[in-house]
Amino acid sequence: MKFAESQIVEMLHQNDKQAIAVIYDHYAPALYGVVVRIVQSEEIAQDVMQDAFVKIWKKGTTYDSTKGTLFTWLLNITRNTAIDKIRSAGFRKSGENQNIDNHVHNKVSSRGTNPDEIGVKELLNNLDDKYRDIIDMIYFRGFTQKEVSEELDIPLGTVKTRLRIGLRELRGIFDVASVGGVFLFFNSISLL
Amino acid sequence: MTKEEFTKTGLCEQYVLGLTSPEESELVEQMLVKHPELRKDCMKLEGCMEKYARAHAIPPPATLKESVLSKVDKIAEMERAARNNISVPKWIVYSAAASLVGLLFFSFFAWDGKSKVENEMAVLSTEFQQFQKDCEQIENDKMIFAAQNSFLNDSKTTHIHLRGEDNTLVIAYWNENRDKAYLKLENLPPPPVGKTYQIWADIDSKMVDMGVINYEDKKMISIPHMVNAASLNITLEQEGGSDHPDVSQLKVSGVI
Repeated sequence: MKFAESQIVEMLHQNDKQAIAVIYDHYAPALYGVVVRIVQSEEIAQDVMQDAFVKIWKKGTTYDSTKGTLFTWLLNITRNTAIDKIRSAGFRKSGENQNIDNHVHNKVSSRGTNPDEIGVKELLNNLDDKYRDIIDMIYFRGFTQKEVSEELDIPLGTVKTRLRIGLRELRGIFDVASVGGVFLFFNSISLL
Repeated sequence: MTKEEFTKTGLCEQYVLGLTSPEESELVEQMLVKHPELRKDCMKLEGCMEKYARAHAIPPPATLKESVLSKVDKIAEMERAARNNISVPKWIVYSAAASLVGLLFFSFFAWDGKSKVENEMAVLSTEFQQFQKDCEQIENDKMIFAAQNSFLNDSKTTHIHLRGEDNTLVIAYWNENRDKAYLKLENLPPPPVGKTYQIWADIDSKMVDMGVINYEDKKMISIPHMVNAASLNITLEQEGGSDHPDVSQLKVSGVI
């Protein structure tokens, strides 16, 4: 059963435990994708997911929709839980990025992704690597801009600039994707 | 900060990525409230990142949902139990703790007070005993003084001056109707070490022992009354007194 974001928020605000199940159904794969990339272990990622959902449940009544989307809020909690986990466990983030990304991509392809998102993924290939690397390190790996600067050995200012341009590019890509979606929709209608 | 200035800072992008500090987040949130078009822009960017995350989604293992839900259940249950356990008894716990503290204070003061009272009692008791002793002494002295007073005021009492060398003087208060008499040593010097004064009555030309004199007692000294005594004589004798007077050591003498 699909719920609108406002309905989910309503349940969350009322401390309704059903909210957790609904949030899980709607957002778990996207959140899990981020957590696995940060902690680099599916086993630890599952622990993190449990802890993160407990926090989501506890903090649920404090979510303020005027400050951002529900997903951003959920992701911030989940990402911070994952980052806390790797910091407490003495994990090292640097070193084997490429291998881990390959590992993750292999895993994803072996289990399969949402078919709706396959087109988007292809479009995302249009995003220049220099932007994609920085966005991924920050968004999926929990790096700060300063850490990215050190890791990639580029000035902090450049990191910030690339991040802004990268996000703008990304936005353009998704705009194209939604237009494309409408285009496909009209095409399918015209075929009928 | 104007809308344009804000856009240039790139804070919106950083906010969406969760990179802003709490202060920066607050600034962004204020700007979003003030400028709905900024909010729309920012929300669009967030939607964008959500899509990006979904594009990189990894389906979790099927068992994870159950683990997540049971963990949340467990925590919710624990919190409810803790709330129930704590909310009502908290009041009791606090009051019990307060009572205990109060009791301890009270006990301490009571104990402290008790020992203080006990100490005071002991001091007072000692003082009282001393006071009683003093009273007895005063009572005793009073009786002695009363007896002496009655003796001295008696019209039959006479003063006998016992004199010696260098104007040494001892006064005897003598009364034929009484069985005791008194001596006042006046300027009789203290006896040498190992010696004592002894008083004798001359009766029928014989020296009759009337006892040794306690020189320490500077007040009136009580002596027995001797019927038919012709004179009173004080000699210096060996400590403890003698059966017969050493007349060579006669210090003072007076005729009755």
